Amino acid sequence: MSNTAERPEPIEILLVEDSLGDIRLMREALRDARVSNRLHVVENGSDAMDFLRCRGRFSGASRPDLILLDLNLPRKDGREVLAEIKADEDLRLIPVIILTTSASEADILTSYDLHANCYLVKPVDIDRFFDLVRSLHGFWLTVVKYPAKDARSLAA
Amino acid sequence: MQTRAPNAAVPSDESIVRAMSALPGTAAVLAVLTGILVLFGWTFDIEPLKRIAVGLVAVNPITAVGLLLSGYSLWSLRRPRSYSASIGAGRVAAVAVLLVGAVRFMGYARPGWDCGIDQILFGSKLGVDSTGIPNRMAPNTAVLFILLGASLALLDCRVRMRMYPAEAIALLGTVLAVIASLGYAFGVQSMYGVRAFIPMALPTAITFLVLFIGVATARPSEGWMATMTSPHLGGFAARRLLPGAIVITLTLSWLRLQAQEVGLFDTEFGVAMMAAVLIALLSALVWWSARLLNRVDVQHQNAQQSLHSLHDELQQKHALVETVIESAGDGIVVADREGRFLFWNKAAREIVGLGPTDVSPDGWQEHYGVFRADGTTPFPPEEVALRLAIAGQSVSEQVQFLRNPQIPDGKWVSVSARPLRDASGQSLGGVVVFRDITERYRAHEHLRAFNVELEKRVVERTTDLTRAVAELQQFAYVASHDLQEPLRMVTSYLQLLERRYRSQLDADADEFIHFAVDGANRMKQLISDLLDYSRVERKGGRPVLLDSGHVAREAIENLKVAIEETGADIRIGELPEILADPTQLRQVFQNLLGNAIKFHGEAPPRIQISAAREGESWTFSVRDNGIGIDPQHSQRIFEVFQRLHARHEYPGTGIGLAVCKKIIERLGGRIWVESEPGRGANFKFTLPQLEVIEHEQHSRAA
Repeated sequence: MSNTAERPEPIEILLVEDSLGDIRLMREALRDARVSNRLHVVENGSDAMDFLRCRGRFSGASRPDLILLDLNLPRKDGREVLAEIKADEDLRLIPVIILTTSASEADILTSYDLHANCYLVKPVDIDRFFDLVRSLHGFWLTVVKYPAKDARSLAA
Repeated sequence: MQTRAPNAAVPSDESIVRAMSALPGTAAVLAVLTGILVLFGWTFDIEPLKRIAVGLVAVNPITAVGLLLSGYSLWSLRRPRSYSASIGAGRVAAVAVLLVGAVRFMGYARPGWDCGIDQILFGSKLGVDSTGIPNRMAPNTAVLFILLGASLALLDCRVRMRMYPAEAIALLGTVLAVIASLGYAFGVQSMYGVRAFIPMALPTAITFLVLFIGVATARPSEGWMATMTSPHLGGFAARRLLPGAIVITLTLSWLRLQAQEVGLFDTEFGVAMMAAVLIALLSALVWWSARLLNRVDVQHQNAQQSLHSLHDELQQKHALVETVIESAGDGIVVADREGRFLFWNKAAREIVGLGPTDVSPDGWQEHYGVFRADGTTPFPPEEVALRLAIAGQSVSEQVQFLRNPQIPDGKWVSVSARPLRDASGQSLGGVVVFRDITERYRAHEHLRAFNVELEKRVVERTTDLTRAVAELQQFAYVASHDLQEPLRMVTSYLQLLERRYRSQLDADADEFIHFAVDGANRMKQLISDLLDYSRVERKGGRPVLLDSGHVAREAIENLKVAIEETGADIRIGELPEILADPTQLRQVFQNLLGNAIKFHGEAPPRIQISAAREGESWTFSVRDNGIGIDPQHSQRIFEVFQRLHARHEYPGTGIGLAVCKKIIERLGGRIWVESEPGRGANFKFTLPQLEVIEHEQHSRAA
């Protein structure tokens, strides 16, 4: 089992979220969880894709370890972003966690159909929210094993 | 009613004609035989064959040939036939007979002109006859040959309507032959011999008589003979009176002559005696005939009377039938096989506005203006009902439209038609019956149009309503969903505030934050409940077969915290299997149990869940020992947002029971409460029994 102390690099998280309140809450939650991280925030779907493909003003962007994706986004919505990521041979290796207020069956089903790694409903209660972020960190960033960032090129 | 033929007592025309038809043939054979026998006699000198008795005149050989020829001619012509070889030969023979007679008669007028025709055969034997006179053909024989030949030749010749010359000639010949025969019978020589000339031989006279009778009866149904053979009273009387009169007169005359010759009485006495007897016998004959005639006439009159009454009866019936048909409300028209109209009743004229026409069936459609029920499509001329009926087809209550210059507004009629056949199935034509149904048809059309309009409106409204409901549900869903977003911000940041700055703020601030968080929480609950309510219709799955007891236990499991907090005691009785959506049924139990726990009194809640079969459904009951409900509120509590208590007494959004009501009603049941304040509440709801549902589905499938 590895822990944060053993990781030399802070975790790169891409948060795709248009609500400033939620962005701030996420920052608070991550601080509360004492996770060594670098949080990149983009506020719409097309920026998210630019970030992931290092295009335009995101040309120097680093590849995230985890993507937190809201479904209802301006310009390009979360479902499209998810579909594009999972259609990309390289990007699909990054775990995508849907984090949204919608508990609708249709949204849940669509997301898993598009190969979301996990679907989470934002809790109304702040304590629960903090718990959720903590467990996110504990599971996805600690327990789960990923292929190396350049795994595919090494394998080839 | 008398049906016997009125003339049954009178022999029919046919039977007399048949009886008479034997006469000409017989006469012909007799004549031919006589001729042959006489010639035989001359050839072999057999005297009895030539003259019958010694002392009588012998038959001249040429006379014998003439008789033979006459017999042959009569045989050939004895029956009326169209031209044939034998008839031709018969006519030739007749002309030959006529010529023989004529040539011999010329000899009497101017001696030598006859070329000795009667001396051609056996001339040497003729010499001097035993009577002392040279054997020649007698002049009266020659005349009779002329008459006989003429009558035979003219046998089928008609002068006027009923005038046959052959008959007149034959009758004249018959009279002359009778005179000759009577001469022999009564021994009066002057009757068979003319002056100093040789007399007619006895066989000749008799054969002539026979031949003339044969000719006269050869055409029994033509000319004067038709009167004799008539099946009517005249023929009847003639056939009785004539033979009687002839026989009586002849017999009496002969008897008188014999008696006078013997010397029984003198001429005066004989004449008087004969007159008296003749009067008596003829009177008896007439009386006898008259009696028969009277009898026949009475039968005839009876028959005529019954015929009259039959006729009257028929006429009455006919009048009755005609009155009925005339006064019928339906139009009735009859036509024969060729499409000629035989009958139109009054109603038919009134409905159609026209009467019978000479127009051929092809033109009926145009003449009477026959259209299909739509009122504009002309009816195919060959499919007009009466034409189909004439052709042997039937039409039943077909709706047609009639419009012609007499009825410019047109009329709808219901038309039926049938072929008319006689007893043997032969087509006689057709009959068509029709009824004016304009008003009924218009009313029907109005109703139909109205129904169509109504249906259209219902569909429109339903569509509108469905859309409105869908929009409303969508709105409720979106609204409640989007409302949660800002609400989350409010709660989260209030809580963050509370968490981070609790120690730095005063008690007031803590209380303010508490109320703010509480309000936000309640709003969150409200939105969540509203979402549930709006989801009842949208999210309800197909009802499945489930154990309601199991569902109730699941609901209890979900309420574990509240049950432990209050120490509630919940008992479940025997619960049936039913058809329902499990999530929704659980929701119902959960809401009802939740209320029962929430609204408890001093004592810990005691709740009993049970079910009972009532009629065609199960009635579920959730009974508690809580604070109860005033019956006046028993309706209101099932409406959305209706609450009976202050929020700080009993929390809640006022949606739970409305959700229950919606779910139960969706499953085909109903929900109500039986309660009194302070005595607990008994919430009851019904759900259809399984068998009833299955039965309904079966009958729907069938």
